[in-house]
Amino acid sequence: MDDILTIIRSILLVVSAVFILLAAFGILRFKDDLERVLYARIHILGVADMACILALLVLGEPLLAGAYFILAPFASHAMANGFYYGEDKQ
Amino acid sequence: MFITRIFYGIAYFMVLIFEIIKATVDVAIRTVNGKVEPVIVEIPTILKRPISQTILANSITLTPGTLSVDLDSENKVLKVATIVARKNEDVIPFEPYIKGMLE
Repeated sequence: MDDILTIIRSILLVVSAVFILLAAFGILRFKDDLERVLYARIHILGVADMACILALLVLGEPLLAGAYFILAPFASHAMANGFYYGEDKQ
Repeated sequence: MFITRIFYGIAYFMVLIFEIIKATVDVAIRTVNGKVEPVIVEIPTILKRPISQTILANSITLTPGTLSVDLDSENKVLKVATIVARKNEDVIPFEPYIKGMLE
């Protein structure tokens, strides 16, 4: 029984590691010539957020994962809002 | 009715988790094949109370691939940045559950 739990945890950790790797690849991949590239970068960082929440749940920190789940949107929202209205003034 | 609201809350949470998993895989695939074209659309909502509009905006931002930029509470309009252009109903699939839960 213990072995099965360990295997499931290991698989979930590997899945979240793959998602974090893909997010890092995506951040570096899209250059500034793409139009409105900042939104694309924030979307890709959302993948990293979800992978971190999965990793925290697997590692046995549900309260930390819940706090992350509630607080993660505020940062993305603040960045997007600031960029949107800053672009208007130029 | 109080029991109905609890039922809608549980259903909303399930739909949110399912949408997050779907959108995470979708954005990861788009990262690899490079089909990314960010646009900003305005989405009208049927929710009236500010708290339910805030929960809707937070759910939109929590789903990878969609990102709420601004919320006009009086005119009930959300500005949403999506990773590719898609239909309005696909951006807010959890709206009826929030309506059942809080309104």
